[in-house]
Amino acid sequence: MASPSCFSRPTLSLPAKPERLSPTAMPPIADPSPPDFARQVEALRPQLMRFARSQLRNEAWAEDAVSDTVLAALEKPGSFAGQSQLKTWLVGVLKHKVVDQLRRHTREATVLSTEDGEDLDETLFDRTGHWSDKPKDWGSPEAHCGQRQFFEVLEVCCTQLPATQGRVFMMREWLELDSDEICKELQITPTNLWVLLHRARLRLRECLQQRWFTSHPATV
Amino acid sequence: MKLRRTCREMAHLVLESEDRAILPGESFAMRLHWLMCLSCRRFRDQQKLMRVALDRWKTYREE
Repeated sequence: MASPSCFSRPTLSLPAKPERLSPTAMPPIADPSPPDFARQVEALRPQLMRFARSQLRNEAWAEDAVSDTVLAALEKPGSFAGQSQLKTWLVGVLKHKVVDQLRRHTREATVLSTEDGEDLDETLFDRTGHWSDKPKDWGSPEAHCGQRQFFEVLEVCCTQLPATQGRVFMMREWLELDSDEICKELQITPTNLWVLLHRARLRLRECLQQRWFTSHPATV
Repeated sequence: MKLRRTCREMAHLVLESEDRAILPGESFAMRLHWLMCLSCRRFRDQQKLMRVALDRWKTYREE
């Protein structure tokens, strides 16, 4: 399989072999003929748009990122052994395109602002540094992480983070950029970054407590 | 490196441990605090659960 030339990161790689699935489980093989292949790529556009929108929160930038991605795929008909391999590859390329968009538009995006709302830190602890709102027992990860509904709630909570916190959090957790890369993209200091991540994690925790763990307590 | 940490400092350290290495002195102070503080143990376990959830969520989203 040809290695896409549009990657700027050496770490990204494609699977070396096609997936091993039983013939009955295998999704239809991507037809190398261009019209069918183009149709298959286009069929994935809505999902790619959903992802790009959640990262960029700007419709025009999301469309640009997805269009670049789709074009990159259309240049390579016949390179993919199956639908899910195509999708994996598309998401990989899209992540890079999203970073490109962020790079292009960062002046407009940034930095620390009062939009972050009240500092949860203040409400969680009293003046002596003790918990004023004590953490509850959430139980084991397995009790919750097997449920699709839990992940739907998690996703809602991530999308409801205040804009700057959310952006930083997604760059960290979903795009898996390291601290230096995020600081460079958004032109913030490491200290700014840690404050934002700190707030995002506390807010996410708060959201999960309210929307999930209160009604799904740990069972002993 | 101080040994006694407030719960607020502990929460900061737990959150920071997601993004940087914790120093040996900090680690020792944290383990000492956790011996005595149920609330901070729970907060630590909550963060562990969030870590597992977020790691799995990354896989979920690509389906």
